[in-house]
Amino acid sequence: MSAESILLILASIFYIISLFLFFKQDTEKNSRKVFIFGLIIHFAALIVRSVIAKHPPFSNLYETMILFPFLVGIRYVFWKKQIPEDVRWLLILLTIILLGVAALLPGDMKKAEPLMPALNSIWMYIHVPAYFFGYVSIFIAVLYSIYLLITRKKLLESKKEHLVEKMDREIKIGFFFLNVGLITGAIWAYVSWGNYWSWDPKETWALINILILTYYFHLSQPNIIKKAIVIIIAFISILFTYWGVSYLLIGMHSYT
Amino acid sequence: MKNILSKIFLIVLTVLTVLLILSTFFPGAATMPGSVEEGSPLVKFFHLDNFYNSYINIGLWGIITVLLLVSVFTGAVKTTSQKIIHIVLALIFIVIVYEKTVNNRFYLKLTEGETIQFAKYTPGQSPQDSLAINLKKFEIIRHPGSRMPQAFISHLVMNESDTVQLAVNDPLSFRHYRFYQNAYDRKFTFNVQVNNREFTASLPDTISVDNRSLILNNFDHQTRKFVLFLNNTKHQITPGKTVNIDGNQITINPKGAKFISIIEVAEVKGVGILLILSLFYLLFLYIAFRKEDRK
Repeated sequence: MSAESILLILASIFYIISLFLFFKQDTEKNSRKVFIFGLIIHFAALIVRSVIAKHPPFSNLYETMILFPFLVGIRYVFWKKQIPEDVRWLLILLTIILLGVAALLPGDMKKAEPLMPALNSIWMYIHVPAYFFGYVSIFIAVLYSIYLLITRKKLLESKKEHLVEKMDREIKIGFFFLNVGLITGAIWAYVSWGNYWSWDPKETWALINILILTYYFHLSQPNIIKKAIVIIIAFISILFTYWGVSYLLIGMHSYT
Repeated sequence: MKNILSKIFLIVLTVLTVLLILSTFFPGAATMPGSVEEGSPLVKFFHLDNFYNSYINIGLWGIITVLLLVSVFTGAVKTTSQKIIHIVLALIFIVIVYEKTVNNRFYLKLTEGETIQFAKYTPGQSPQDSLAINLKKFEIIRHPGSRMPQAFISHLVMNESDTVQLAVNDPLSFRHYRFYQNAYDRKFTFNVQVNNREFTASLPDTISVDNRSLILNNFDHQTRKFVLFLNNTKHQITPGKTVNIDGNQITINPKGAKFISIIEVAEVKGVGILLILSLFYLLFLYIAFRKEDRK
């Protein structure tokens, strides 16, 4: 077993303990401390991976699947107050599930490979993280939307407004970073392939995600239900862009 | 007015989004004979097999561009940063149409040692921007200790004087053109002996033998034999073995391999403006969101 796998298993154990403490104890403090410890080990695993692969963990599905839960963890630890207390445990659970799914991927997909020439570019270090920052925000917005949909009748109007404001904020962050990802991707494609836009399925779906989120800002008489539906559709679309496009559609991004 | 514009915009956006989603599942259906999608009236009607180049796609983006501008000039959009975002987006779409219409893009397939000459031809005018490109050498640099390529480099000689290097992610500007290292291929060459006469050929190739055409068609990897045609009759030859075909002694031996560099050549009018507009868009998107958050 590789050092990276051992570190990821250790990180997962700390995350599981953190989730257990979250429900077991009255305060979130201890759970958070254990989670931070897991996050540090997780970060060490990413460093080990980067050293072995000789590039940051951005280049294939496995690498992004161990990167994404780390970014979710970062959001949970450093911007805790932006996330409703009742759904924070979901972030911890998601971190565990994603690491578990990454662990279940076939060995071939986990193999650390050096970068192919087209990926060997400075733009990868902007394009990929931009998307993943965006994805984390959209994911948090999905949690808000589900929480609001479930509790909208029980919540006080002021609390509801406060949560909708936070959901709006996440969507704005997500929308901004998806745009950064799309534009830096276009610049990279132009430098690499000579064409900034080729209607490749991944490109097209990246645009579709932005078009769906554009709805959010143009809803007439926006209410919680309308907003939540748009966010959930956008999230499904993003999931398809991330996983579905790579396996179901053929294009220039087949390696992602 | 704002509500009407908003409703039209959402309808157009819905149609465009749905068609874009569907189009990703119909890549070039019409060009694949016998495919299920061929002849489907819905696919044909919405041009889903070639949606991106269709008038529907261009038309929908055109309507969105008009709506973006109308929303600014009718006061439907209130804040300055939002107005700028709408105008910049409209300009981006206009520049994209201009850039895609005006600029030429084409691929060059250059074999090692080969020279290709090209120029811009306009009806009624003499050729302009003539350029001769020679591929001196094609190089694949691999990651240390791995078979994975690290870089593809074309060593080019432009107009028999300037030696330049072209690599992936490192485009080259020369005169009015911009060159991109797109891909590569390999061309295998063969020594063909026909009645003691020697020819160098590649696949596919045609050799003239006593006013008859000997067509080297392909190499069958299953039978490991060359497939060739003489007088429209198909023959198969094992490499290195001499075979008598219609009284001709024919031998084919592998000679070597040459790289073919696939280079994209593009004109870049308007691309710089597009980049500036895109950065403006991001900047004002950030400003607009920040302002809304502060409120």
